[in-house]
Amino acid sequence: MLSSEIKGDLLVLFHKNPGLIDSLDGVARRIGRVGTAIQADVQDMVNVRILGTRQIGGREIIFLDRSGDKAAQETIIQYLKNLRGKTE
Amino acid sequence: MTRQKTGIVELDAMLRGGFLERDAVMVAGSAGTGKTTLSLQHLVNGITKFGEPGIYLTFEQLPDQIYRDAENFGWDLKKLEEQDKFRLVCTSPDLLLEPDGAGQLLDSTIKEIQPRRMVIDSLNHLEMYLPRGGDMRKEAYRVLNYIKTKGISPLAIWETQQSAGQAFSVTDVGMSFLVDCILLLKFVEIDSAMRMALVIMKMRGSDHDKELKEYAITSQGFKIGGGFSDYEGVMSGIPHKVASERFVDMFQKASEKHKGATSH
Repeated sequence: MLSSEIKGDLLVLFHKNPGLIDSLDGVARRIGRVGTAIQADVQDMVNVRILGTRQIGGREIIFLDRSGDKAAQETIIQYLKNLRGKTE
Repeated sequence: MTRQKTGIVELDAMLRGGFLERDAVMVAGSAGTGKTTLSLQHLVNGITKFGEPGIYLTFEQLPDQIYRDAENFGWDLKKLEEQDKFRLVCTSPDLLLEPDGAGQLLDSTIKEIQPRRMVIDSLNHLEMYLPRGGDMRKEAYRVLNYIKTKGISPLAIWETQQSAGQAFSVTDVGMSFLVDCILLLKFVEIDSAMRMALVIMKMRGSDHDKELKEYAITSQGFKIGGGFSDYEGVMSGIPHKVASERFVDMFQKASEKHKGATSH
């Protein structure tokens, strides 16, 4: 999931600011980057339902998919628990 | 008339019981006067004291800074969000300016928490992103009306410039007619110290206190004190003592001098 630094920055940004709803450029600006640089990572995070998208005036906006993010967190917790179980 | 209390007792008294419900309110003031604090306190009190959920819409300042600053006053915004009584929405102003941008951005949040109060921080940011030739008054009018039609009372923040000796005029920005109530927060220099003054400049359809009141930002938020009855010209930013007070000062100084001379 965290295969790049940008994904890490996006995850921190949206977890610290769950009410953030912005365009690609707007989100990029908030982590000191430009839209084109984060586009692929955003798409990856949309695919795993951590982020969601919607259209406003022909522009795509990005937000934290709260339910998808919660489900992803639970999956990670479960994975770590299983891992610990195997090593014990 | 239904009043919406701010929960700041002295301010509610100045407003003769609170803002009129669904009135658009503008909190104007220069940087550092406490516009954000006052607005947050209005929202938090709305939730905790009057059972009215609220939304804080911010354009530039990221929510994590607002959570942190609120915590300094003992307001746990994250807890209020978990209870579905509060939402902190952060977006770019240009999205709000899109046709139906307000609806697309806020409809789902409004459905979720059924807010009665909303803060817009700030109209200046909205103006900054206005396309060339765009009419700020028209756009602000549209956004404020969208909020009002949802049964929510909007409170918009407007940052003003303040320079010594210059009286603030909301008409400078040409938006005073858009809002029903204007609260002005202002720094004033008195006896070589910066003090803060609050005045209700306008309140449509209601009587209100016209006196300038001194206020302070304490660890619990806004604390409004008495007036500046000993001073004239407070609005100009360079007040001076009224003649009777000057006389008292002169008399005291003369008396102290006399005492000093006779004690030697």
